Amino acid sequence: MQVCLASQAVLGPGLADWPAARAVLQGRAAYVPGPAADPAPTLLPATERRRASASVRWALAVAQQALDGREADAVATVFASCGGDGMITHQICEALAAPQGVVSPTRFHNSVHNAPAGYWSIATHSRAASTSLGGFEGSFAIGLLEAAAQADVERRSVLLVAYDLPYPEPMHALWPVAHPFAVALLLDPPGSGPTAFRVALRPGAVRTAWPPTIPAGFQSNPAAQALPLLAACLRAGPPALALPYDGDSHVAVEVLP
Amino acid sequence: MTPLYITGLAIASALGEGTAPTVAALREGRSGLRRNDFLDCALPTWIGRTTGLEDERLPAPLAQFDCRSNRLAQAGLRQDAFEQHVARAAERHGPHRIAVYVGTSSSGILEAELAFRHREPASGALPADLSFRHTYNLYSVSDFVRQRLGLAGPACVVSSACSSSAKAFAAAARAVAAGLCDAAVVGGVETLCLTTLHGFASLELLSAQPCRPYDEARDGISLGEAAAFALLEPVDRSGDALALLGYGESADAHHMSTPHPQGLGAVRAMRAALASADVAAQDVDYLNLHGTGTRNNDAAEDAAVRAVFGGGVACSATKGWTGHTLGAAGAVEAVITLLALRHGFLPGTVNTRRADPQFGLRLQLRTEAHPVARAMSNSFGFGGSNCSLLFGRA
Repeated sequence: MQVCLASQAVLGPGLADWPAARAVLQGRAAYVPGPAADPAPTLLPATERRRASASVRWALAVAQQALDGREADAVATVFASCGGDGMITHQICEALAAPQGVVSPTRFHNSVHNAPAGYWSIATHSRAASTSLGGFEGSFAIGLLEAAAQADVERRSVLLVAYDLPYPEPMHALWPVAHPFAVALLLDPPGSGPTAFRVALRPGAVRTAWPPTIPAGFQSNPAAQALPLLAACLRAGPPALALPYDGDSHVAVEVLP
Repeated sequence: MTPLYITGLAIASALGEGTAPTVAALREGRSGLRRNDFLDCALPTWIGRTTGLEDERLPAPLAQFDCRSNRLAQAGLRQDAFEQHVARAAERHGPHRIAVYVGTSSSGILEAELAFRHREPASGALPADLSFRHTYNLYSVSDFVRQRLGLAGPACVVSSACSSSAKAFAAAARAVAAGLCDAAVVGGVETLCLTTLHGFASLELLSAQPCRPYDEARDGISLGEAAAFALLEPVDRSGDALALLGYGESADAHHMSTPHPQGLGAVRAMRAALASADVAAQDVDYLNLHGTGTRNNDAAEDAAVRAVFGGGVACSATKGWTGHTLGAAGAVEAVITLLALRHGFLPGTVNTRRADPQFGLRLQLRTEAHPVARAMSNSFGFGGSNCSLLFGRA
């Protein structure tokens, strides 16, 4: 499958936006650690913004930037995350462990894995098709395959959004993600832009060397597996790369010259 | 889309294990719902519990996947020689050319819920034997199914609340069309858990009686649990030519837990499914409704179905038989729809006594023998996530 990358956005500690991340990936600026500012996606009404959880705010912030002013109703969305919303899972499990077992209704409807997709549709008034996927360490590659398949088969533009935020303790000890990260890629059908790449699933659990300018701690975040691909699209990394998928296979990406 | 033939079908639900007891229950009017007896949950509601999971054992090499969700998945896979059909498909195509797309909304979250009752008092730590990867991570169920079946193709979990496993069919069809795989195991797995029982209770959407979709006196849902699977291949192997003909997906752009009142997102999904199959609305013989039994859901879906079909198609809601199996509902109702096509009957809407007189769609109250050539199944979820599937003989 072949797709074109029209636009991208990232968010993480020390990677405040795409220009900042691009400069680090290209080696033009050193990575400076520091907490990421809590994103405030302006497209959500103020009441919804307060009600939306951190993972929804992170996902929508990058989605809004990468949409780059296009009509949202004409762009399908694919949301991919390994852990979904760990804070809500934590709060619900804690409430259920108490004698009364009372769950907050807002928390419950925010607990679905497609909460970011739902808020996106409400905020942008988009009724376009949307899907929400989960994998393990391969969550980004799983989302990339689905988004590329949509661009290829349905011949439509697709906004791929991948995000994972560290779980709070005690669940963090069982899945120790070091840094939060969110990324969005606006993908068009082949032949519609200068930056194009091929995507395929291949046997073997290989993965490309991590971009040397990005702290290794980001490797623990499934969404941050987008960074080697973004480096390749900037010609700041090898053009052929292997993204983690699962224990037996990888997603091979080749950025076309 | 190019039709994908159904070369294997399996189900385990409150109606029993396998397609034969499912068809028998539908024909004989036996609902699978019972008074809530799930764990120590005291909520006054009815549930569609799958029996025997307490005694289900996973094979030793996959023991770390042990949890109710994966036990239920295994109980589903064991039915109707499904694993043998998959093994033969793997011989034909190669294990790396068969995808696994499973829909679930909660996977093994029950394990985390129970583990939070047993935190180490001083540190707050969770029990040492709890595994994120193998139980309460969403992907656990797809990983388990893939390894249990010995497959190595594309695999993922689709999790969009109650449309999850309908969307798994759509994603798998795209994966075949894009050349990522030659065949796909698609399905849905959802167990009862405390998050969903107490969550729907908090939204005041749980009925205290067996749910009565589309009834004038409907007052909420009954939750259920189930595993349902289909094997999709580009060439017919079973001889009955049953196939996935089309799919349609949309979003509501309205509210996180309430459907659009006129069902505008649902209309878009149903029309997209018809267009994808190149089938006209009047050529559809049966529609399996999403039909949860809440006041709002059924009213919105009625408006949407009338907009697309004009009241001409026989409709039924089957959640009174199985309970609302959430992330598995799309696959469960796809299987029921395919059984209606295969055996020639219109499933009834059990528990429902009198259709809401304000509604305009044609509700099938009792199961009735009737030839069915093309049938649609609707699945709509929280977040306004909609998916319609169209099945028929290709």
